[in-house]
Amino acid sequence: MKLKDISIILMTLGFATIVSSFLDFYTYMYPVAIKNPEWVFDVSQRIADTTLLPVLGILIFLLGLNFSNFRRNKIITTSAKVVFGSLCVLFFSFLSLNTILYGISMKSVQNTKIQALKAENNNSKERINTVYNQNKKDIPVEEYNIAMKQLNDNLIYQINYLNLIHTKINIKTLLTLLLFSFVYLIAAIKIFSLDKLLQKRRTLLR
Amino acid sequence: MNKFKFKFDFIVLFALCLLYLKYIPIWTNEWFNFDSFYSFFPFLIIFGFQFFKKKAKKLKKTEKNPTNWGLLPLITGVLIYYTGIKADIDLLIGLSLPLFLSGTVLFLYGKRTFMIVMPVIILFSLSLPIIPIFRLTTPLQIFLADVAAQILHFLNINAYALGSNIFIDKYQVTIEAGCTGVKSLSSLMIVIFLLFYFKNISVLKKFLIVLFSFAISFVGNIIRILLINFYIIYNGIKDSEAFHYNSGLGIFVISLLIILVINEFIEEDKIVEEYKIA
Repeated sequence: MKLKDISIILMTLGFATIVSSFLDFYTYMYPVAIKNPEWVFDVSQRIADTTLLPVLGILIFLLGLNFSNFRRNKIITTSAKVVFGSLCVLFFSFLSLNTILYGISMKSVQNTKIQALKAENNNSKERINTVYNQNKKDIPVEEYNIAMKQLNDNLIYQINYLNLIHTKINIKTLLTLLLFSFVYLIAAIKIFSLDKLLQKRRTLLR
Repeated sequence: MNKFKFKFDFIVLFALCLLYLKYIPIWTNEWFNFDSFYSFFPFLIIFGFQFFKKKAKKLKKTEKNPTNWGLLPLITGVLIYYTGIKADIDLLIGLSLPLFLSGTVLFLYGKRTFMIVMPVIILFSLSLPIIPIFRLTTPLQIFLADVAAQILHFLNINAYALGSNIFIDKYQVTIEAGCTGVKSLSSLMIVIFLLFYFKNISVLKKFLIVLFSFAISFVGNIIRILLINFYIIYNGIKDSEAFHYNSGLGIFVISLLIILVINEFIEEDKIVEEYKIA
């Protein structure tokens, strides 16, 4: 089996990866609810998890193209260069903007979750107060105080835990988005200068 | 004779400095204030340095053929300057400086040298903080507010534009003159000029890049306005001013990086052409 024979498989695989990654992005984003920061928060994380796929697809496709006879066809190579280079530039812009959008949504999401925890805690306190007021004679004050302290401690623990989890998620997502935006930028530069690389290869082979 | 001319250059420079002494602190303040439209001046210094470094040999080789035609812009400059002083119009005083510079170069060195140094004179003239740019941006402010509101509406956000204001729920966002992108556009244009002036590519390609940078700056600015709107929707009006400032820098960097990628594409074309010729 020659490299030429697997080239078509590589090209198909690359194309399929690109299309499937687009479908993935579509399912993550649809229906669009950009007004809701939680939607931005979730979608950005999902995009960060699958952002490797398009660049991988492009690389596999170009590898297949390099092994095939199509590489001698100037129109096909130039078209591939322009299409995939532009696609990488678009992805770079998209991921950069996504990083900024994620950055502005994360604080709001975290605050909403903390407010929800506080509301739940206040609810529990109110319920304890109601029970305590109804059965004041049977429940000692110490027990009531202990319950209140436990609730307060629990709230602090939950907020700290939430902050920790969010910090981890935020660092991971922001770094992934930022890193991949640069990966796409470098990929665009490399794809646009594909002939330069091939020329170097030819010179080395001589 | 050369020695005399050398001294004469300095006399002219000294005279110009005296004429514009009053304006030097004001202009310097505008040039080095990042929030100003004319903040691209530092890039211009780099351009000037690079220009004279590259063109030094050519300038030395160029034959000096002083022409009396230089007197025409010089006398016009004097008249405009005098009118500006009498009428107290800064715009006229500023406009006289490029005329003085052009006239001096023509009168002392001639047309050939003038043609070589013309880009520096044009860019320097554009950098003079005399044109009231912010008075010219009102139609653009209204247009941008309308476009941003329509995009927000398309994204299922209840927003509408009134003049240069965008109303989103309980918030009101005003598109001010600085938000129209003229500041980032000026810096972007000069950086592009710096990048592509010395490149050995056709004038058509250079022109296309400038057009592309216009488009990218315009789109980038709409995106910036949308991002500020999203910030206000998510986090409220508090701290939005700081985000407004930082987002401008972010969009500028992204635009510049995109243009650098396009640069690679153009370089590539040149290599392919060279390869074909070989």
